[in-house]
Amino acid sequence: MSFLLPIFLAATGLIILPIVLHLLRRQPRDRLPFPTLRFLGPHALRDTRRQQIMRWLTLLARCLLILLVALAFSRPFWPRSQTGEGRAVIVAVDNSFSMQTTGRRQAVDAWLKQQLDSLRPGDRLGVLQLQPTPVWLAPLNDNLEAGRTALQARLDGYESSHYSAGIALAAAVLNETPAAQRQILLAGDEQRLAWTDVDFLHPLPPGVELLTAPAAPLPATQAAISNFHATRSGNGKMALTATLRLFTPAKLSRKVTFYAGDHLVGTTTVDLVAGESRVVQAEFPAPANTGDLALRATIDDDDLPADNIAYTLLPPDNTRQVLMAALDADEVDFLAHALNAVHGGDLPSLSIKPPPAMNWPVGSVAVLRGSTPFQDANVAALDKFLASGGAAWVLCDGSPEQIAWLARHGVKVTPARPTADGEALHLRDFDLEHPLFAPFAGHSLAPLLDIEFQVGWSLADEDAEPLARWPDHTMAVAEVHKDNYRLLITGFADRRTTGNWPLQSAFVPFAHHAIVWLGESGSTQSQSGRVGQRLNLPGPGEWQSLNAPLVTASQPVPGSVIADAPGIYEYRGSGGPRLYAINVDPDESDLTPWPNSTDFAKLISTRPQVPSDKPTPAIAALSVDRNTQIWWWLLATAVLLVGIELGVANRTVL
Amino acid sequence: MPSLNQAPSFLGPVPARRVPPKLPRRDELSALVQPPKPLDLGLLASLPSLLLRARYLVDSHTLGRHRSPLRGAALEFAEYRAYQSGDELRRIDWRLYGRSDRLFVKRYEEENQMRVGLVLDLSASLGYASQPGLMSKSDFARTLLGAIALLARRQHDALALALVGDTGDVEDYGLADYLPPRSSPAHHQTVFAKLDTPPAARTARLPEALTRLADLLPRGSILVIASDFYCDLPPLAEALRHLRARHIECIGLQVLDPMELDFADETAGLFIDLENGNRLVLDAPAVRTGYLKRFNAFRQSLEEIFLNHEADFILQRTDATPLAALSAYIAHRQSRRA
Repeated sequence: MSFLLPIFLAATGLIILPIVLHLLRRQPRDRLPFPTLRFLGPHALRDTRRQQIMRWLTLLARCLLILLVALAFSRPFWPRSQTGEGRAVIVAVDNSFSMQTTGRRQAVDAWLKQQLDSLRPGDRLGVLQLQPTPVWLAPLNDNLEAGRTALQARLDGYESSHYSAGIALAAAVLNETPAAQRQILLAGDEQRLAWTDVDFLHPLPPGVELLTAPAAPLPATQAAISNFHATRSGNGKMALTATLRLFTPAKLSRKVTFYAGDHLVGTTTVDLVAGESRVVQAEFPAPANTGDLALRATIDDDDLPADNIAYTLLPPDNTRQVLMAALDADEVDFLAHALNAVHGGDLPSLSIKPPPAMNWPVGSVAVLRGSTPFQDANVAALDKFLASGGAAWVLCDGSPEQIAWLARHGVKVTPARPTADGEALHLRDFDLEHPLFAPFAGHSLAPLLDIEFQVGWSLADEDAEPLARWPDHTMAVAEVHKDNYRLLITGFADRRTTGNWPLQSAFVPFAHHAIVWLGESGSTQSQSGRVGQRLNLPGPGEWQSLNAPLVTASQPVPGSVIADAPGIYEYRGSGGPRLYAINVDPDESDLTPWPNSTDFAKLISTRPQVPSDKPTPAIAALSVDRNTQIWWWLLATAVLLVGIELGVANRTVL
Repeated sequence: MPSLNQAPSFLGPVPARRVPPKLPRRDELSALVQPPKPLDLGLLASLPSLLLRARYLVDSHTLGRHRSPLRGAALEFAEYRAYQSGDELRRIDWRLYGRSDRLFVKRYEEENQMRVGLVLDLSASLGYASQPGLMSKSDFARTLLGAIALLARRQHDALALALVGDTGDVEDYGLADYLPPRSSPAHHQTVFAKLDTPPAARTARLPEALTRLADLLPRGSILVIASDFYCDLPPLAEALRHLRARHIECIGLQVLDPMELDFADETAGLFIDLENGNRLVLDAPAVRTGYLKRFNAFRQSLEEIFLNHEADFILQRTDATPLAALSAYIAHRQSRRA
């Protein structure tokens, strides 16, 4: 029993009063000589015993009266009972696409049928879908037919396996459910990925069992497209890059087929080796299109077909639009010159325009320098641009508006500490794996190392990815990827007065490649996502599937959406229609089972089932209290006891 | 010729022996007897000796009356009887011899003196006194019997005393001590001494003792029994029947403490039977109703037994004046004489 106002339980101490009265007035043990007991005898003994019983009853009634009143004011309620009758079963459905492996769904269904056939009327059944977040397909109740129907009607999912949250929720619900037998039937496979976040050191609540489906056989052949990417080449072609991985032991040759919409683009063949990834690159003529082009790559069928297809988008053309305000007329704009200097060849050309007052084009790249873009008049447009998936390059020059804006986005900017010997600042610790430094990684870092800065700014952000550092090991160049936008922040400006960077040979390729990289990430990359992940949209609009295994009719969505199947989706909202490419999680393609199946038994608690003494949250307790209203019955009993006490006490002389 | 036993005709007819009238009932006796004077029970209880208490009791009863109802009756002339050998010469009426030349002796009422038997219950139950200011039942009974003994002495009645208590000797018929009826002052002193310091006894076999007294006492005696009568009633009834057959008139004085009558104690505790030592843990208020019901039923039965055997039965509380009992005794004696 729990209490809503346990402070009133202190009043139970008043029970000492009737006890003291009783003890003070208890039967004295005086010796009373009397002429004869012939008129007393058994009758008197009986009367005395009756009197004693009445006196004890009076004491009991008084004590109970105090107890009941104190209990009533403390507003008791029964927490949901831990014990009961019958069975309570929650079927935890693994809707990851690994369950589409040949024979797994059928085996799990057969096992489920065997388990659920033993349910009887009065038992309870619930169906819980595990991914991406636990969702009740059928809440736990005694409507067994509803649960069975939900199980039969469930569709193949394309999620990735994560059991921890679902098992925890099912266990919590069962722990609060009165039943003699409480079971979680895990309708899934023993895939390693699913169990990685399960804490085997913390078992389920006592009395809750976890039953897993029989271990599924490993697939004979299993290969997957783990990544698919398309870029435009400068010569009117598109470069398609697909990464394939083989998960089964035997070598396998797979034909990769590329489609643009429903149009076959081309095929290529690749030999796969177990446990290794193979990158397939193919170049095909790029169709002339004004919008994003939906592309998909497929490979030959195997035991798990869900990961044999991948989707991506090709940007409309090779021209990158750069939103950059011009400098004052008396200043040399080295950056504008550098960006306009690149034309022809394989490099995409850049179109520099000043940012409009509002509604910056989403596919463009904003170059933010000086204080102008961060002033109040422009901040709203900038934030909207980023919120809708834009990308920007921030060149730090120490202006207060810039520092304040960065601080709002979690980036702390402080002046870089000068070197001990007074020499100029140099960049170091480059992340050569990052695409930003790809033009230098294959040749020489000397152009980067030769750059000297008289003024620099250190960056600090826990979520930032450092790309280069100052001599004091603070971040000099960082990539910040938050929500739906991506920032490249350099702790230096493009001014000649702050360093010789604009005069160095690395200036043009660095600036050009930064724009290209940001342009890709700001357009097609921001329009791609994973099944089960929340995808930020420019705003509320309509969402529908164009090419997906699960057809999604046009439906209104808020500023975000979670796709439940891979495919090409169309969003219609503010900023015009946009395409999104959704793929499955490549980690799910690895069907390797959990190495030690005996770990599952660790989740079964060995402690005996005891009523929970966890404090119930006040609001929930109030709800339970209102539902049960034990206090009312306690008060009614107390009133009844008052009558009994008066009646009994009047029959007792002492 | 008239016999020697026959009085001469000139002396007038010898009055015929009158049949004693039927014994009045208690309510009738109450009408005959004047209401007693108020008596200070506290003073009575504080008097040091039994004789003083008895005298105070008697004086309180007779105070202010012009003539003692107990005086002179026994010295009145009754009749003449012809001299028989063995008669004392001093009893011969020489004057009558001078006139009639025949020897006659005078007979006085003294020869019809009453024989009064006092029975005192010595059982331990009479040692009870519920309050410090009250006399115990035994003291009260002895005082009452002492007052009757004093009256008897003044009346020159022959006085017998029976102390009823179980001595353990089967042959004594429940009589711890017995003094046969005599009227000498020395005997009366002995009676007072016995009453003043009676032996102790735990129980009493009252019916057996009364039966024995029926054989020991002369016919026509008055037997005053001071007891609480906590005994079996059928044997008591049999003893009374036996006494009645012997023409022994009984007055039962049931001496009871107010606590026994009212059971008005608000305490509880270990009740100890004074006679047999039995113990009961009782709550007096709880058992009062049942006690009174059974006790009153016993008393009613007891009274009916006495009345059925033409014996008088007087309830005497130890917190009430015993003058009513004395009055009853006097009334009995007068009626017996009449």
